[in-house]
Amino acid sequence: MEANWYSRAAWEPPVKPVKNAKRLTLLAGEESFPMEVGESEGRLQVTLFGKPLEFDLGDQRGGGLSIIVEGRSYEARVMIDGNRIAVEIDGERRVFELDDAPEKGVRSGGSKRQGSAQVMAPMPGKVVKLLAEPGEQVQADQGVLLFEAMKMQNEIRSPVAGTLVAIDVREGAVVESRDRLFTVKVGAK
Amino acid sequence: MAVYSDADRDSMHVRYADEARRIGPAPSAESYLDMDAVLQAALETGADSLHPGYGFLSENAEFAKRCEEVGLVFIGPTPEAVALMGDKVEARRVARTAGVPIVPGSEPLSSDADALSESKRIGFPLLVKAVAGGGGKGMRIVSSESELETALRQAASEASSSFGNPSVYLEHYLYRPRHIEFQIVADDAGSVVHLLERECSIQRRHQKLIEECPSPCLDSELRQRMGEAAVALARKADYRNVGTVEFLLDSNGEFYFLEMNARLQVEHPVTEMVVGPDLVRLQLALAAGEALPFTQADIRPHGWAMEFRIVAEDPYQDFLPSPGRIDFLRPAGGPGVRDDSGVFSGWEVQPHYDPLLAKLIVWGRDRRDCLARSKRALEEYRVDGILTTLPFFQKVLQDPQFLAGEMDVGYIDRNWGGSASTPVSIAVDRDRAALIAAAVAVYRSAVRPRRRTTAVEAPSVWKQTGIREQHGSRL
Repeated sequence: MEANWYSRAAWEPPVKPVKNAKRLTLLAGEESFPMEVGESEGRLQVTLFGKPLEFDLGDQRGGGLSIIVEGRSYEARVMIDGNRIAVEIDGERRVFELDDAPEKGVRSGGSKRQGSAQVMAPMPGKVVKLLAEPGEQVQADQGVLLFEAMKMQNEIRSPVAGTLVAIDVREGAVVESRDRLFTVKVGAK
Repeated sequence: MAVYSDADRDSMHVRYADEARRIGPAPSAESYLDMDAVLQAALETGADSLHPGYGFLSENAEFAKRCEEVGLVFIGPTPEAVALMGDKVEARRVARTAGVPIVPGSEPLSSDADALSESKRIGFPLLVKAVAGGGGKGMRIVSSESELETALRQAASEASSSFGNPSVYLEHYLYRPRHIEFQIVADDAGSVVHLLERECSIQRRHQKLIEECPSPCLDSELRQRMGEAAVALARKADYRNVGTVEFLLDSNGEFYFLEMNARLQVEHPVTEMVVGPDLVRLQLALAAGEALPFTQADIRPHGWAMEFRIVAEDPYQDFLPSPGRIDFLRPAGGPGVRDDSGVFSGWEVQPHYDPLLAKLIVWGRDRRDCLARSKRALEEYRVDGILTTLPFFQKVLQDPQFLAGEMDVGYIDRNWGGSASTPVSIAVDRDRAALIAAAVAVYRSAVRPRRRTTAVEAPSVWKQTGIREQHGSRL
């Protein structure tokens, strides 16, 4: 059954003027969601595929966003990190990639698509051991180095399959959060 | 009186202590693990006894001995009992002589060749464990011979950096066992009583995340047998004060001694909620030489309790630590809800120490009631600015297996993918709510620069109700 997800008044011509409208596209996996957010009569209006969505947004107090959709009340926690937006509802996390220049037909961000992935230190810590060498072919999820932080050792893995073109750290190196650890070029040599 | 490192200057234990002494810089080796600094601070303040907490020096026999030597009462077991239980191989010997079943395993390994022959004798899968270990550090599961060498190397290196002792041994690995532990209390006159069990099967890399009391899988017959084994072991070890005997229980109802923790445990509140005694207060009384105020016959369960460890780790990224500043904090409250916390809005989570922030403990009449209250409390609990294990608990409490009490120590590895994002469909209300939330948040951050507001915790109606329920309507 096709759910009637859009506003029941969607077929009526928009009569309310929308101010400060901003277009954005959210990408989730293979799906792409073109949206527009603007202010109309003091409230926020959100459209999806050009159709206004019906929802009620609570006051932004006490952290997070309160959204009522079809009578159901959702408490959403949103974390924005660059072009990556994570939304948690009832413990489930949905991750979107923000494509804020859809008109130009260019996808911003996503270093993956530009041919290489750079992997940064997730937090301050120490490089215990290198598990791969520069020039080596690595699989997605293959461990590249052993990282110790907060007394725990974790493998830092390659996000993509490809060639390990550079390792920027040595064994025993102490690194800060977001220091580059290594770079993987997507695909075979 | 409290001691603190530079990183903990603003901690609650320092702010609300009568006296506080700095014992060194942030790295624990130069502060909380520096015996001289801790002892000197204790003697300078004129303290007559010392509580070692959990972690750091709490299971260090040398430290317990040095406390005695300088005339401080160490609030815990005797140095001899700490040493005995701290050596996992010795502890297994004691268990064997007490008639408590143990998992087949090896002596400490002397070489790779030794490891290989012992591994063949015990059989795969097996565990590599640190002799001086605890809390899952220096421990590896090995499913075949080809993984043995790597696991030995990693475990030894982790054991060396965590405990200063690279020695490891092997142990047979049980298929889908549950982790069941018994709380023991013992006085100087030699009375030993167990305060029932805790189910701690929801763990990851041997770090517990959810604990409950009682266990949903024990009947009174098995409870009695395991409890008696725990008491027998404590007697054999001439144990004093509080401690925990950990068992693995396999799917056939066979139990094996795992280890004994010679200290107070993180999960002590679930026992307190169901059995009654305040364990820390009892520790102080026992250390002062008082007798146990109850016998085994007085110990009966009352209702059900669960503890959720709120840890600064991202459950959606393989539980990677997530240090940073807590921008907003709203603990849960209400009837049967207890929050044992060490943080507040504005607190900077340090990368130096264990990332445990708070423990949410929930009590109910029975397991069902406890689960219902837990679900609500987890929705109310809010920590912003860093990532925590809260969404993981919300998901676990939606899982029919967990709700039915079906779990074992492999639960998280099997049921929690760790990094997958939930798929999004516009036909689902909840997904549209997520899309709206994402779009609105992006819009607000672009149109209106983020205001830095002072986070104020709103008064909770549930909290008021909880206070009324506990103290009567006179308040």
